[in-house]
Amino acid sequence: MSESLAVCDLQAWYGESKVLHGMDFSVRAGEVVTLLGRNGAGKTTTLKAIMGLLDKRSGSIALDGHELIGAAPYDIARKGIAFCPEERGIFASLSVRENLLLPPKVAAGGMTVAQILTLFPNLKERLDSQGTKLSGGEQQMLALGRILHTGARILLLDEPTEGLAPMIIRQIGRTITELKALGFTILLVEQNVGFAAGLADRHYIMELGRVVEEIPGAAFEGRLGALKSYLGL
Amino acid sequence: MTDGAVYALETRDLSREFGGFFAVNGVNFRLARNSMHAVIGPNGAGKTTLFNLLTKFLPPSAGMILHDGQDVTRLSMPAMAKRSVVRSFQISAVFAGLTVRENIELALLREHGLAWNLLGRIAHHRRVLERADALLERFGLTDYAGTMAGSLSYGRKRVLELATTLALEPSVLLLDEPMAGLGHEDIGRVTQLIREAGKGRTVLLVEHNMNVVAELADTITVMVRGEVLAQGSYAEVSSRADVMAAYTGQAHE
Amino acid sequence: MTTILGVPSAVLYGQLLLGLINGAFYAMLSLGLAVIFGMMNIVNFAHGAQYMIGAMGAWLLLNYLGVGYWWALILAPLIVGAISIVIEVLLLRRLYKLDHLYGMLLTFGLALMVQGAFSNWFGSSGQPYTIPQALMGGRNLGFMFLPNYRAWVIVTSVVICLGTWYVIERTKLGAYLRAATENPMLVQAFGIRVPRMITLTYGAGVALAALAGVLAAPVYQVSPLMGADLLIVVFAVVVIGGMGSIMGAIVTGFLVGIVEGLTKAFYPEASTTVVFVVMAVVLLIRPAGLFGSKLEAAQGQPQSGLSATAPSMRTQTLIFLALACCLAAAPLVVYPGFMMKAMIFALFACAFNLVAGYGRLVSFGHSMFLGSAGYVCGHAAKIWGLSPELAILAGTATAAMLGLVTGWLAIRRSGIYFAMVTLAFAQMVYFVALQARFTGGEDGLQAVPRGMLFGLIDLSQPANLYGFVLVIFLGGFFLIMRLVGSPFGRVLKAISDHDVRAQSLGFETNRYKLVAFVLSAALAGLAGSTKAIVSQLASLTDVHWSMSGEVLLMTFLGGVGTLYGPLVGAFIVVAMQNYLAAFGQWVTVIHGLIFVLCVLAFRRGIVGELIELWHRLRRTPPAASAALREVVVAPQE
Repeated sequence: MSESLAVCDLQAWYGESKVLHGMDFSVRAGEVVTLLGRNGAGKTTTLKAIMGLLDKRSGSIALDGHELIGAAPYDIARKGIAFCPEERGIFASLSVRENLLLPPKVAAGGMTVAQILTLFPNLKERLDSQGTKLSGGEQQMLALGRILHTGARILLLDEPTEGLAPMIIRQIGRTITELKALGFTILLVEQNVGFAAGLADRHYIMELGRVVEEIPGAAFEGRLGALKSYLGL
Repeated sequence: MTDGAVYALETRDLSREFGGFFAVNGVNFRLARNSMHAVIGPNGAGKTTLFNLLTKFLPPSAGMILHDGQDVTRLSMPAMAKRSVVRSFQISAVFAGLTVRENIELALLREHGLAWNLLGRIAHHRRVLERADALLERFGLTDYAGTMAGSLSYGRKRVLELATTLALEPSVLLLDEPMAGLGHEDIGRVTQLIREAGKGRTVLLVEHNMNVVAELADTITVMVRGEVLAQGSYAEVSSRADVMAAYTGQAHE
Repeated sequence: MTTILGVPSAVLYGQLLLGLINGAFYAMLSLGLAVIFGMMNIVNFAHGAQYMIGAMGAWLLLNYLGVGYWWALILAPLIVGAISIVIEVLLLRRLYKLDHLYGMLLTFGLALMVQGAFSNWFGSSGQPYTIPQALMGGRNLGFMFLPNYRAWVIVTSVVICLGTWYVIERTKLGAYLRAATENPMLVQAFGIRVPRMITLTYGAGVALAALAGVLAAPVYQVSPLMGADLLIVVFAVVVIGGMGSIMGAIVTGFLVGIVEGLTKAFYPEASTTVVFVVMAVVLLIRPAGLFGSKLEAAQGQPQSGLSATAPSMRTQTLIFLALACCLAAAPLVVYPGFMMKAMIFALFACAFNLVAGYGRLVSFGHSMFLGSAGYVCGHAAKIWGLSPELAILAGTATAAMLGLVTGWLAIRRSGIYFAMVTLAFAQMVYFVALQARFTGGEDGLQAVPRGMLFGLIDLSQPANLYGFVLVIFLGGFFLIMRLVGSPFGRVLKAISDHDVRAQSLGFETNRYKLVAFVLSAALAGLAGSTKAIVSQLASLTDVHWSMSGEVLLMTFLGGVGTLYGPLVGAFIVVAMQNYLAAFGQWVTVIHGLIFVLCVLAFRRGIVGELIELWHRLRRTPPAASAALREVVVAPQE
């Protein structure tokens, strides 16, 4: 399988403070890969750096061999990478429908609204309500559904289970499995180890802005003890 | 409320709503005097919101907050500080345009009746200078006394913020993720500082780093989805299956 | 003839119509301001000037190119919009990461340049613009006569406002705009070119102002300053309505117009000030504005920035003594009249710097303290026959009281809102001064006696007068020096660095800000009173908004937040006025240009840059002070 996203020696800064100190990892087409690590390890920053949302970054981010390090966020998005932020980023001044349709199409083959609503039936009756009037779980579904519409094939998901009830977490897990089956490539940031274990092909453990270990999905259970110490559990 | 004990801080059915979403939902929380108490929970559990409610950074939507048994729900942040309840911030809050020494002196002004001194000079008040010297020494900041706080390293800002906070000699110290963004070396040092600071006063901290929590806290409250899931010692809390499940998300119903 | 509450109904309807017309322009202008502010976080101070260019453009097109009203209605907005796009790309774009006040200062500079240039070319008197043929005449509605053009203005503006509202609230493009207003980063991450959208939004917002200008041309006289005073009312409208909502801007605009119209019918004396009174009431009851959802963030963002450690007390005393000697000896080489004027303005600027520099509260209305103190002092000396020291005391006390009331209301808002609120209050004071009897209106208070100081010293003697001004200046400056170095000054500086943190340490930050504001107002009043005695005149110039602009200019040019910066800036600006007097209105253009250059190239000001240079030469860490520190995005995760 080809390497879809290859990140090499990625360094990134927030203002003056350096947060990523040389990240190396890759995501192959069709894979689900997680970034695990405790708060402040730089997981979210890694996703933002890939999207070009930071003041300063260096190193290399290659998408199917094309370098993205100098590109503007809107150009990176247009190359087929979609970002679902941790805080979900539902716009309060937009209705659910407007939120759903906001990201422009970047490639052919995105899901239709009907398909998205089949995936997340809860949203169907809420299309005309204000975006932020949804429950936390519904907002997360909207945030996910929104980027499926664009035709992007690589999804960067930042803690999609944060603050959600177990039932909703399972539903989101099923959705990610479905998306994988549909051929999406997914880079997932998680704190919820159990959630990540069931989904991912590979895991990268992060500490202080670096990848410290790569764990294949199959070896996950065996490494759970070591993992918990990494995560400070 | 059956034991009749008076707590350093106590909440009764405290809630905070953000556009229909309850970040803190009917929380009854008690902070015993002279305890070292940690609030933990996964991201989005409402820890920071609870903390911001206790420190008057946010007004509650419903419920009550008591300090030493008195209703302080409507008091302002400065009023709480005057009651000797002082907080720190997650993103280090120092006065960037003042030197390290000036930051610390600032915290001493009120106590020495100088905050409203319009024409005098701090340099003329030996007691303030001596106390500032002592604090600089105690926190290992003497060499940086003349440095602009804004140009300190992240870890040092943390230490300075702690020093400034402790300069007020608060009876209740509230620390918002004191280890956030710190490297290994700094974590050890700050842990030590917090332990020392905790002697003879009440400390509440919100913290993600479990090693730190295990090492410091005598009582732990676990929050999940805006509610209190469990409370007890580290051993008690960490042995509970529902707590582990909340953290790891592993199926447990 | 029927009357309503004692007012003839024809008069009432006539004033209501006029109010609606004014309201139409308020609505269109505040709408544009709100859209621009939402996207760019810039209070477009050039909005009034751009409205004026729209009207002047229509007039120029007609008189020089023979292009009529209908084409002007399309062409003028397009041209003005295109120019503004160039301004956004070349200038405004550099400011987005800085404090929002810089955007306000830069556009203020642009407004000065444009208004000054147009005044030079076309004179400041108004030019008539004839109503187009098709809209001449009017119709009788039975209860009143409605001129066709006025009906056209109201209908057109309602259509434009509702059209803009529709585009923003109901279309895909509008969804992009709303989303980008909330979270521009995320919208970029979806593949939308936000920078280009910002450019076009600015262009569209400004085009809207120009369109309003063309519509206004046949209603009001077309003149280079037609937008300046209007804009201040529009700022008040914005504060009343709150920046948050599009519909809010429209509704508030029309409402304020109607309220003005009604006031003109029932109590004409108050018609120019009523909008500011409404603003004060709204600030009291609902500080976020009628339609505003929330107040601006309580400055939670830490401000990164470095300021110089104050020089030691001995150095400071030495510098002060040297300064005193220089100023005392100056009349031997420099014209004393110039020196006195410069010292008075330097005191004014230093007083302003006390809040703007050390308290980070940039007031756009400090002229009200200078001017009102001048009037009261002049009145006390001339009419009540008080001795100069008592007259000055009266003036200073008046300014302090005014500072207490306006400051108490204004510190409820911060940043650009504080700037707009203070500007609006100053405009209210201006209108009061214009209408009140004791101020002498347009002529001002003339022939103010200098009198005998303490009944002993004859101030009509030039040497005595010079010594008097010198002592007042040095006294005021010394006081400010002590204030800045005092524990109180330390607290003030800390509050401007991180308000919330100061609160958490137990400081009631608003009280400190208010005291600083009152002190600043009093010292500005001292300058104004002295000015009245020295120049023997108290006039409208000193209460006009352009005076607030001048003190801003002096302070920023010299170095905001530095002790000696305002002094240096004041001497330069006064010298410019003296030696460039022959250039007439071009001085305003130069002022505007200096603003623009200060904001773009040297935000620390002359003294601030010198301190920076000194530190660099000595290889100490960079440490110049700039009160409006550059905001650095805080790490978050």
